Amino acid sequence: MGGACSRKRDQPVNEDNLNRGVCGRYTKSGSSKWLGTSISRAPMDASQGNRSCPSLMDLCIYKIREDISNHSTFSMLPRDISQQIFDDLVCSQRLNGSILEAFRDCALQDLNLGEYPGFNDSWMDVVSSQGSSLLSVDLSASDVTDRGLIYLEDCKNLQALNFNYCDQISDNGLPRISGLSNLTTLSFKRNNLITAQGLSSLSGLINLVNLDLEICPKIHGGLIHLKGLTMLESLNVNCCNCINDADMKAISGLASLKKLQIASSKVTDNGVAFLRDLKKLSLLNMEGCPVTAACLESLTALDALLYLNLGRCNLTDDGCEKFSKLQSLKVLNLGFNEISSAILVHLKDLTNLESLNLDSGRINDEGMVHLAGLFRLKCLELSDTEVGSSGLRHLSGLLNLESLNLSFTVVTDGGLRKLSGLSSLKSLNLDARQITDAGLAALTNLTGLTHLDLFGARITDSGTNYLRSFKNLRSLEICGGGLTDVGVKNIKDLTSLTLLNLSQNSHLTDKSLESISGLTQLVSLNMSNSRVTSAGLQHLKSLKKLKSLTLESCKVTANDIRKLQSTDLPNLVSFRPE
Amino acid sequence: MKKEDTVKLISAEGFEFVIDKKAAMVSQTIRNMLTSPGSFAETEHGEVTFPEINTTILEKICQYFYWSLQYARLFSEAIGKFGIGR
Repeated sequence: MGGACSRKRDQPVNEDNLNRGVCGRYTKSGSSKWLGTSISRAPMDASQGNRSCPSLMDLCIYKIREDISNHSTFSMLPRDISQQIFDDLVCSQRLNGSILEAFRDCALQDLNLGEYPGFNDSWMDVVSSQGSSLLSVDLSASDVTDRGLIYLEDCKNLQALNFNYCDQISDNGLPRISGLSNLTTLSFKRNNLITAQGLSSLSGLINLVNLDLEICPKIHGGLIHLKGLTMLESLNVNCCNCINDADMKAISGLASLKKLQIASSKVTDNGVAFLRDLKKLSLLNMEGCPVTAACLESLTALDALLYLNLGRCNLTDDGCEKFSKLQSLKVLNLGFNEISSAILVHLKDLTNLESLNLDSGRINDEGMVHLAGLFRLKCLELSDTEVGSSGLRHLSGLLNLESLNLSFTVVTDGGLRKLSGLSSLKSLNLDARQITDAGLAALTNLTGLTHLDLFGARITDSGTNYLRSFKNLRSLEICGGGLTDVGVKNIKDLTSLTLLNLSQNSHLTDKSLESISGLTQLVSLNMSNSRVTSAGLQHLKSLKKLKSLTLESCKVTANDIRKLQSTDLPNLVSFRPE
Repeated sequence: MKKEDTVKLISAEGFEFVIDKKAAMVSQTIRNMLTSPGSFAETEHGEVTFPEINTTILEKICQYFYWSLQYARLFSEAIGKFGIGR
């Protein structure tokens, strides 16, 4: 019953969104939290009137948070309780240097202080007082310095350290953590100071499993120091444009490596050849590397390869016949290359493929027939290709397809009929000028749709009638200019919507805001370039979950929105105009 | 309250709190003790002793049980905040 029971620790998830693109977030500012990333950071709030009753523990922690100045120490409490109090103070941003003193010697396990405003080296003393209980520390985007790292030397059981975006950590700090041999996860994203010299301090971290050095421009020549890290499974040196073929030679013996990310580096086909002995490699991200299809020869030996990203590599058709040998592939990204339909025949035997990205390739209807047998395909990206309605018919048998992007293709209304049997479809992007209401009519039985993007399609009020069948819709964008208040009425029953973009429909007035006032799940709303005025803002008072509001080029001022935020919309963190 | 619908919770100092079984079942632990097909003594006599919980705390816990039952039916604005005071 609480007390000293074993506490379930949240795993510090290091799931980079690998499909999204090469380099993730650059910003250090607090604004990255606004849409609520996957990390669960909701402060407990007993007064919120949630459906589920707050537990007695929640209520006590809420009370402690309110009375925090009355508590000088928590060291007498069982650790799992003081940990919850700490986490709550961080979420609610009530923690400061003096309150932190109450957590001295509490034997805490996880200190998640990423992007916490006000952190500085003086806090490290309390951090270090957790001693051998301390298992993970997240100090990302903080001002911790090399001297601050001295305090970690005593925490011998540390498993995970996150120093992403810590601009003051340099080679001089790394020797301080060189003795923490229990470390399994270490992360230094975007560090301009660490060089090969600094990496030499990591050579003794023999239990290291995950190492993240994304956007570290000075580490070339340093990967040789990782040679002894035989347990290393994941290495990320994306956007380290200094990394070259010699660095690949240095890691060629890391037989445990499962995930390797070298996007936007200088590795060439010769460098890839050094990877052929990495038999456990399942993920290889080479987006934006100066490689050609010749490197595929080195990859055919890798039986475990599931994910391959060769986007933006300036690949041509030459050598693409080698793709047919990569039978294990589940995810293949060939976006933004100079490839043509001629290569599609070489993909037809990749029957394990679940995700295929051909964005901006010179793909047309010829060759689409070769995709018809890829029955496991869940996600297909054809944006900015010459695929048309004739090519679409080959997709009608792909009954596992969940996500399809046909934006900026030459698909027409008639072709969309071929998709009506794809009942698994959840996400559909039809942002193309030639799509009209008639195309939407063909899709009404795709009732599983959650994301529908009709941005530039010419949808009018009569087309919105067809939207009523999409009862599970969470995201909708219609910005073609053809809507009036009458059409928006058809949206008002789509109560699952969390994102709605009706910008650039210049006929919409405040009446539309009235129609959507019942969409209480909305998190993001955009009605820019419409005739919405500040008088209409009152209809948004019910949208308590709204975090983002965009009303550019409307008769609405930033002050109007600020007023709305302060009186009715506490969750609003991002709005325009600002 | 009929005897069959109540349970007795006993604190470290020996104070006995007789409450509705439904209220006590808000606690998963007590629920398991009272409904398990095994041979807990608690199931037979409808009494649970907590030698490590003092009276003041046990009283507050019983108050929480009743507050939680009400919360399940209404929102917190309707029944008021649960007070943990000094």
